[in-house]
Amino acid sequence: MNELLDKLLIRVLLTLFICLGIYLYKYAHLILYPSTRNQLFKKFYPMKNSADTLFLFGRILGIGMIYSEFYFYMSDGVFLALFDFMIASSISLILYLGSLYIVDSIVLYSFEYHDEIVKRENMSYAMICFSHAVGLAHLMKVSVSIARDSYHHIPVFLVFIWLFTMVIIGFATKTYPLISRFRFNKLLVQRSPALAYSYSGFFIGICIIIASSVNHEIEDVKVYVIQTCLKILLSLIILPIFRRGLMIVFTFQDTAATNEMDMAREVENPSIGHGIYEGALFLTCCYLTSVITGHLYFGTFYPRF
Amino acid sequence: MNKISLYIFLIIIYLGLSRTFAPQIQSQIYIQNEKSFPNFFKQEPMTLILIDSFKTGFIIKSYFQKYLKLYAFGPTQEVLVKTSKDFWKEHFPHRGLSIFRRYDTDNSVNFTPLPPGMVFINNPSFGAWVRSTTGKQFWRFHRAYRSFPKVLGWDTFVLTREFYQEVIKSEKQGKTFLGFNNEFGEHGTITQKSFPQSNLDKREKINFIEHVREIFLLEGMKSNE
Repeated sequence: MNELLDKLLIRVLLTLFICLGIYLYKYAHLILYPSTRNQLFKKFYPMKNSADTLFLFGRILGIGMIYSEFYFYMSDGVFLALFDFMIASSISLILYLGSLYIVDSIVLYSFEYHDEIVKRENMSYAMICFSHAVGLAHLMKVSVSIARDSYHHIPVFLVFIWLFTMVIIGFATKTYPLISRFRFNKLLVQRSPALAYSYSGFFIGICIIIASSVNHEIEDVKVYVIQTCLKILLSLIILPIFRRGLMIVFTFQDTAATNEMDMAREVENPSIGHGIYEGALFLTCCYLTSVITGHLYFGTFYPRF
Repeated sequence: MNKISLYIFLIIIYLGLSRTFAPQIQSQIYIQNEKSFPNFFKQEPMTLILIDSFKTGFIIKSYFQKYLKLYAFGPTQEVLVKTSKDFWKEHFPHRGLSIFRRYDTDNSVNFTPLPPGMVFINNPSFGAWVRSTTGKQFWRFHRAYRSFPKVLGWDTFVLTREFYQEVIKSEKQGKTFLGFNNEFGEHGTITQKSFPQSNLDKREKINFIEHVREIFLLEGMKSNE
């Protein structure tokens, strides 16, 4: 009975802690986007600004996601279990907000939250931010899971993995022009939904691949980094096979245009279908790739010496 | 064409890096041919007996040899090395033979496959020739080295002066010697008894029907049958 009560207490406290995290995000939002100081404390009508709603709920969902991978080690008592959790979850929350700030700064460097969301109600911008929030939360969740050793979360490992994944994701976001023919900045100014779908699929896809690549035990930092880089390299080899395979099996055509003029028009002003196709294809291929590069168990494939 | 080249380049980089950083490869001794032996085995007097040969891998094979390193003044060790295919094939019939020796008299080395332990014979530090009642001379190790025949896998073999002279002759000619009655080597009776093949590269035969039953039947259902 005591144990059940302790567990219930922890569940209630976790609920309160998530609520506190969300509440703190409201103030963190002020630090991340100082220009919205007045807007945040006014009454918020989600029906009036759906872009802001999507943006905000993306962040809330992300905060919830990072709390989904925590463990409570009750063997040391309730107090220590809660203390360890608070330390690890506070660091995770700060790092998550930091990663959002960094990725937004890299990808959306020429756009301002206040202009795009509050003034222009740019749905594409909101959707891109939503994908950032969800993708990075997934990555953070995996990092928390790796940083945990047999007894406690280790903040040092958490910070190391976070830095490492940030470097990888920073480079990875720069590869979007290689994957898509869309002109990111131009189409985002035009509030193109096609760009939003395409980029969202791309970003969540690379997050899945990176999360799968970093998701292995840290025994030695050097070996860990090498293995992660090798897994990413393996993903680069596997991904085109799935992409080509899907295109052959379902006879996908990259474009419906028959001449160069139509093709240029399609790139300048893409249809939603084109964006959804690009995003969905890349996301699916990334997921299938992560199945291959993730935890495949071969058993004792070769004799042990 | 460029895309295909880039793709092949990526595969080569991946395989190269994986091979370079694989932990088991980093810690593995690689023997290209017999010339590699003196670099790895420096003690003397010492003999290296090939006790097992096996290969692993489905498409690309890796070749391994297991040696028994017998150094007169230290512990006996089993050493597993990766070798080149040619070297492995060359020495496959030489299981149970010494394929490398380093003498303490002049620090010379020899690679001719010979019955194990010849590096210690005719050396008064390790034993002496004893004449039997029939008039034949045979080698007897000193008390301190009385365990050598067992470690060398001689079993019931008795080393006679004639045998040793034949060994010396073969060593000078660089010719493999398996014994007067082929007692040593892959098919030798003494080798098969002392150093049996481990069959590490051969898997157990599995009954496919049994395997399917294992997958679909629960423990209770199996016992009911």
